[in-house]
Amino acid sequence: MTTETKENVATEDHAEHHEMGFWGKYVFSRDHKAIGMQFMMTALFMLFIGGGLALTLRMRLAWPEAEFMGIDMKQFGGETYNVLFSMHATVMIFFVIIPFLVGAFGNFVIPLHIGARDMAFPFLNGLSYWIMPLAGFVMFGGILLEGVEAGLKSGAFASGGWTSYPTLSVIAGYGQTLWCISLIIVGTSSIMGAVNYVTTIVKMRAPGMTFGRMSLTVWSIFITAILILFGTPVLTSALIMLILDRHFGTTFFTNDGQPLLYQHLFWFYSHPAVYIMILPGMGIASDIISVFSRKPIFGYKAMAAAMAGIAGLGFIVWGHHMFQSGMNPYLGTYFMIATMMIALPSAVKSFNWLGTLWRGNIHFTTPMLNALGFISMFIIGGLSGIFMAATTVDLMIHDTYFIVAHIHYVLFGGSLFGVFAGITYWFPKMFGRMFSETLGKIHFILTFVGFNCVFFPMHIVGAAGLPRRYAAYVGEGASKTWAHMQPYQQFMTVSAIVLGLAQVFFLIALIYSAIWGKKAEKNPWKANTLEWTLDSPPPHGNFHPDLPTVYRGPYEYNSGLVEEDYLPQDRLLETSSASAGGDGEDSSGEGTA
Amino acid sequence: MALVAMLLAVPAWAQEKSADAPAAAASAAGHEAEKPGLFWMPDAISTYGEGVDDLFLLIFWITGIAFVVVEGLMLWFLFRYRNREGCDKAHYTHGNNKLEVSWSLATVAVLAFIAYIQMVGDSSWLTIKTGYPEKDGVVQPGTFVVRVYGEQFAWHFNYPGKDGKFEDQRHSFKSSINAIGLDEPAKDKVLPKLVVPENVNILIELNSLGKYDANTESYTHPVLHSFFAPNLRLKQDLVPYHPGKIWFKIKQGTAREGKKYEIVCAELCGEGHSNMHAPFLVLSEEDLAKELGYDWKTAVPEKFPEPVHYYQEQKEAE
Repeated sequence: MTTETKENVATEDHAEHHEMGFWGKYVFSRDHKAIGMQFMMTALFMLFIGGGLALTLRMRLAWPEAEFMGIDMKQFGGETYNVLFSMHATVMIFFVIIPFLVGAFGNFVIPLHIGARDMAFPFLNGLSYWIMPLAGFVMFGGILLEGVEAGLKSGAFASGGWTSYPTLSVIAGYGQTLWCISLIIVGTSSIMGAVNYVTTIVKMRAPGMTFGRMSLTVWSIFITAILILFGTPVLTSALIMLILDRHFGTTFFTNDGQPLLYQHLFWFYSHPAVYIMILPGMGIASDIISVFSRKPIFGYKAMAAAMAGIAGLGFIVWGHHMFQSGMNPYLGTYFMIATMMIALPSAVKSFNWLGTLWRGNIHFTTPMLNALGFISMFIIGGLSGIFMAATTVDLMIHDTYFIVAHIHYVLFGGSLFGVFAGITYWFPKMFGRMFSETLGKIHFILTFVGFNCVFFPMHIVGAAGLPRRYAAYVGEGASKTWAHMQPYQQFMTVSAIVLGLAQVFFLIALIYSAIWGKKAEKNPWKANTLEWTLDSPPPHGNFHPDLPTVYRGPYEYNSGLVEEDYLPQDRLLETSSASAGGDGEDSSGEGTA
Repeated sequence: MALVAMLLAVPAWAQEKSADAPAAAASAAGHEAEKPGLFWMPDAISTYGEGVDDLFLLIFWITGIAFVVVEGLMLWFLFRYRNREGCDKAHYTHGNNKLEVSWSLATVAVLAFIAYIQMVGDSSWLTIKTGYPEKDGVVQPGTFVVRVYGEQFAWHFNYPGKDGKFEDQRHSFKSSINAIGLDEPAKDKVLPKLVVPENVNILIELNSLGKYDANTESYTHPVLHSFFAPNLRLKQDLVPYHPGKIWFKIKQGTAREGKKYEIVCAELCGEGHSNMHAPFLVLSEEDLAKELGYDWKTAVPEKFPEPVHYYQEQKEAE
């Protein structure tokens, strides 16, 4: 099963584009919308690669010595298992979630939301997409060189986990070098995108689009781009040092060097990376919740400030990944306190989402359901974070399935529900057709239930101390301590299959809706932001002939100023200009500036 | 339903640690349940273990209440303010600064409490991680001292022997009968399991060893491992080239129970990571003397020898 999917990475990446009609007209496009959709399609394709790897390793964990349809689960043990989870995490983080949230939505939404015709650097933008497939080829280069089976034997695939700590990663096979090079390319792509986003947002806002009138989606991607610019070079330096240690005889992390140095550098990027993967989701969910509650976002300034707070604090908490690493315990105390601090902005955001729902007029559309899924799952992920932030509790649950549960509640329950919300919300603008509500809702329910059945039990086995990254917990040579928990493994695996099938269903629903969906009008959701004043899909260059002028913030729902319950950002009201600015009490100052 | 059934079966913990088949979980439920650990956790046998569990429980209740309140309110709002016939207006508000400040302060108070509570008491972080039974770098008398070596993929436990002195370790001394490469292996005791007495301070030094590579006829870099004893509520990585220390004390009465515990590896160390575990026993003084072949109290080492790493050995050899 896995073998086939892995081979597909190299060969079918382009075929995918043929089918979607992107080859030719759109492939080397510099249009931000086309590039955004290229990111989306690539990420969607990689989602199934990463998912296939996940299902394979779940099957192995549930029935380590069984045989299914001629596939012997024993072959997925040992080093192969390490490759499976290393590649699963790498693919999901660097080729699915970041391209979805930052690449796809960043590109598609920013110019439309701020009233610009395109990104500041369209060529750089196209380049930032096109080096992503290159990174994919390098990552799975072993398939091209040796094929899957021989590659697994000769170490052609990275197997050190997505963290790739030395010294294991120094003595590993050549796949580790490919992994480093691939991530350096991905990082370069991220930096190209981030430079573009920051420049575009700072320099290219439409007349009247003050910072205080930007949507929270734009705010979130703006802050994310800054995180990328500060964090990624540090990861790149760590990867280069690792390559030097592997091939050029340096000893940064070995001998009289310091293995922990890599961990510090890695987490200095990778902890902010967790926020890179969640902040855009927060922005998207905020916008969607406001639209479908028909109510302004509660505490706009607090929401933007909380995201900035998360980003700032995100750079001083990295050591909480290293409590048990042998790092000075006094540093552990510091990182614990800093981590407790970062729980505050997350809590503030959750309360404000509640405030937005309060006394709203809530419409349960597919994007809304996914946004609500995002919020409720992010709350669980946030709360479970407090356990591991507590240094002494972390003694027990560090490197156990409790951590695995936590990251999946944040990155699947959070980020991926944010992705589903975003896709179904902007689908009419992307494809000119509506995403089928029926199919969308079925997908949401299957995913929501399946997700919780897979990942909630991980808290339980994790609290019992079940270590992560184990190829089996029963059978020959396995530890005996957790053998009695095997029924949990089987339950999680069965649920994971349901969850996987639900995503296949999503793909079908997406293709069906893109071809046979109801034709979308300009503003199907009756929303305020600028993209909804344009045709679906918007023409190249977006705004013709003139750029829009913006008079107010994006959240004027049920303002009472107009008959409809929404008030687009660019509609000029005749009656009064000062109060009808409608920026609300806390941003009127910026409105008049 | 399956999940509910499993939750009910959970107290079956702690009785059948030697169960090696999935079905054993079901059969174990029939056994008498003696002192099940907190929730699904294994028994806590170290002096600070219960304190760790207490903090877990405290955070469980705090976050549990937060979870119920926040998700409950959300569900209530979704129901109460759903779009209905004849009611399609929403309340127009941009927020409330007083409310923002009050829920922020309330959150800060709770977080500050959680931060404070883990820094005090017998199970505080610094007690567990820095409270070594040592004074000025000298091991206190009456401390049971062990050197632990992790390699891909096995644990070795080095006890000091009758002379109360650890032998020097070199990779070049390693052989089939001298697994960790001790200078004079007969003077020490090396076992593939951790045996300790109860109710005394135990100090352990953690070391990582390289693996012999037949292709290059030399040893690879040692890799990270993590010493994880779930029953101690203790975890600490073995950092290559940087020996680490841990300490713990076993609660009185544990030896009498005669249970088998395990040390497992909790940091990815390669192909055989999941098979890297070792038995861990708490023994009475007599049983311990039998295992070790000497009475550990006669001579307790004062210091661990300076480590000589493989790359230093190679330099010396040149």
